[in-house]
Amino acid sequence: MTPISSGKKEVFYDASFEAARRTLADARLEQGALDQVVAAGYDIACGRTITNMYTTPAAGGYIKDETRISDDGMFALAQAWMRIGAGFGPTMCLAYGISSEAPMPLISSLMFEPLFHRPFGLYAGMAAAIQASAYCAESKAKPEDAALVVMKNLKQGSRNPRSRKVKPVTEKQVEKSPMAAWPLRELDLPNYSDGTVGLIMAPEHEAKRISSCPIWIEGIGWSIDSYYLGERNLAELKSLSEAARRAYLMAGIKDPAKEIQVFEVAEQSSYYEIMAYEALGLIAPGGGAKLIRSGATELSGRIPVNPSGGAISADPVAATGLFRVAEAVLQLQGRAGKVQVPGAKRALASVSSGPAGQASCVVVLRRD
Amino acid sequence: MRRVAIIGVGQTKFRTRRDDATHEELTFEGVSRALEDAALSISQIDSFVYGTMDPFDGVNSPDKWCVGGAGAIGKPYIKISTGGTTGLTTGIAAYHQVASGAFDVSMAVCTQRVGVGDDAQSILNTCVCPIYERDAGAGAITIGAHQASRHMFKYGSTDYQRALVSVDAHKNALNNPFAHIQVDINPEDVMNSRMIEWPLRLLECCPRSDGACAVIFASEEMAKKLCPNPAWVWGEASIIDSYWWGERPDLADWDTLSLAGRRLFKMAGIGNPLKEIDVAELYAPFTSQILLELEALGFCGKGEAGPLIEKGVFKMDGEMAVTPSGGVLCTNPIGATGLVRLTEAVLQVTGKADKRQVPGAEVALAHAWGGTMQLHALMIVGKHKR
Repeated sequence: MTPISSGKKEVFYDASFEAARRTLADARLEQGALDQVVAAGYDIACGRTITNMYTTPAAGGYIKDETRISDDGMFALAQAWMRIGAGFGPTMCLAYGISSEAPMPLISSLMFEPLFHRPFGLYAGMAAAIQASAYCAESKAKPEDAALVVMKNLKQGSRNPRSRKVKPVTEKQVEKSPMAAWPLRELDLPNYSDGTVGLIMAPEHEAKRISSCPIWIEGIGWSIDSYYLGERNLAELKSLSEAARRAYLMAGIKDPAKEIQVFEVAEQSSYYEIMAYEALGLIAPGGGAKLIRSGATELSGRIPVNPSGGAISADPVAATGLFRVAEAVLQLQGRAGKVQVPGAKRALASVSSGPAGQASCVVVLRRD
Repeated sequence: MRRVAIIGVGQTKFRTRRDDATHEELTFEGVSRALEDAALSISQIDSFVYGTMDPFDGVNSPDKWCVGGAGAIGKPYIKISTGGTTGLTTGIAAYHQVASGAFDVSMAVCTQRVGVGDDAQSILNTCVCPIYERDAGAGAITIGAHQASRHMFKYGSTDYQRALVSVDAHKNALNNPFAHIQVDINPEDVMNSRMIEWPLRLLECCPRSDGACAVIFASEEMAKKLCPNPAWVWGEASIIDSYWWGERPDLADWDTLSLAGRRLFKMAGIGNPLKEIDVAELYAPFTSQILLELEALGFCGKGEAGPLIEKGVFKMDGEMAVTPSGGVLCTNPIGATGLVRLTEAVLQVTGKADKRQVPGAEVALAHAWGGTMQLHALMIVGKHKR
């Protein structure tokens, strides 16, 4: 991975090359050992169409098999997992998140259909705000609870050298942060950033040969909810719970809070993280606020969530989910440094994309 | 790896603009036709792969908007965008979802509404380097023209040979009710049409089209239960070249297509492509590219495509039919075009191609290229299992 930054330091395909170079070096592999590159990134955010024609060769894909997912990198992880299941060998899964070259709220508003929704000025942050207020109305969660998520994640982000340079904040600072879209303040929303991350994936026999500490995909699931906000119960993250259900079923997990030691959740807002506690089955519906108040999801808590700092610290859109996977892998390998959760054996990473968590992917990882 | 069959295909009639349908409604049309063809209900589809090229339709990630039209709410759904190859890489993604054992029935669906966007070429122009290439107007036509002129210089191909490519494609399109441009033309019409970018004239360049296409893949076991007459996937390949065109050894030869073709033929067990393949649905938005593609895929030697086209080897009744659908020259819904190639290949080997049917077709190849010549995707389907 490349360190996440505010961007504008290098062109996006140089970042892909750098991330791929570091990833290959980490696995002690040469580019020639790769069978394929499965990339992920958004064209419109890069201001060019067909951006994979730059990033995939830069990521080691020259004259190799390739595909590109135009969504978060975790969906590329899912597709790469299936391609490997269908016979491919060592794979570079790479996500490029470029937010510095385009006005991201405008880019996200282009996601809305142009006839009835876009004229309202809807954008990702506003959809997250509508969701947050719907959740508060149903669950009694308060802005103070969301502020705890912001404080926790920025504290972790400030300790994580792989995240963006952020500073810890106090509850007062969160309260004073400018209102973005009620009830969300600027600090409640993800921190648009630039960052590129690569993972080497391989079938079992090759993974054992390449790595002394391979991390296994034990369960994976993804799902999507309706696009129309009015059709959904916005107080729940339905696609996230469906993706988790599929992943848990595959991994044979009954009680995630007991069986999984680290959670890396790409939060679309501070409220989203509280809702995700419920969707991922860490606590019963409506109990999310209680869980953040209890401190259980702190690094030192019973079920650490986002020890990396999460998306509130750094959100390289399209790579945020795959960064979560990379952080989870480092946790399981005991290489997470200052944000290490001691003795983690199993980890979960999740992401949502689309307005108000429309589409989600969940992966459960395990070390030997 | 599991054996995979294609048990249903569907496409809409392609037009310059579809003002009567939104992106989502167009997706619904394509999906409905594939379900009809397979006699399946939407509940029987386990997973979905959606393909489109975003900027052309003025919507960022239209997959999110179209999920209801695709019938995928609550199901696994992944979005693919790889340039011109998108349609075929979407098909390949659905194929891998089944081949890996992750899902039993998977649907690939592609929608494109180029008609609502700005001119397709000006959007395509954003794919090239903004500092060195964009101001020169570089885009797809530039590539076609460069390849054409280089092929003329190196192998002596002629304007007349390329005009024949156009005439054959347009004649074939007359038999295809889904084709966009349906006109009967002769070589003189082509050679007298307006110059677009030398040496390519108007009738040597594709239109831009609106429409949708869907293909349903199933595991062998499910195919046995669900479909009496499936097409079997024999193999697939994809490839990417480096970004800069100036790095190509020679624009008259499409080396990456040769490499991908070799991988494909190895996987599919094809020794002599011209003899063993009955139909090739090649992706050629410009006449010149049929020549390069036939040569790169080994259907003939380098420089031989032109003379063989003059002899009629690649006509409907020739040794191997090239794009009996009329191909990309007559219909180009950018991000769906590759899936249309696969759909047409499937229709041929399942004997459902109606007036454009090549008699006795048993093995068909689908191809797509994308980017500014960097990408290729390929798939071979057969009437019988391999």
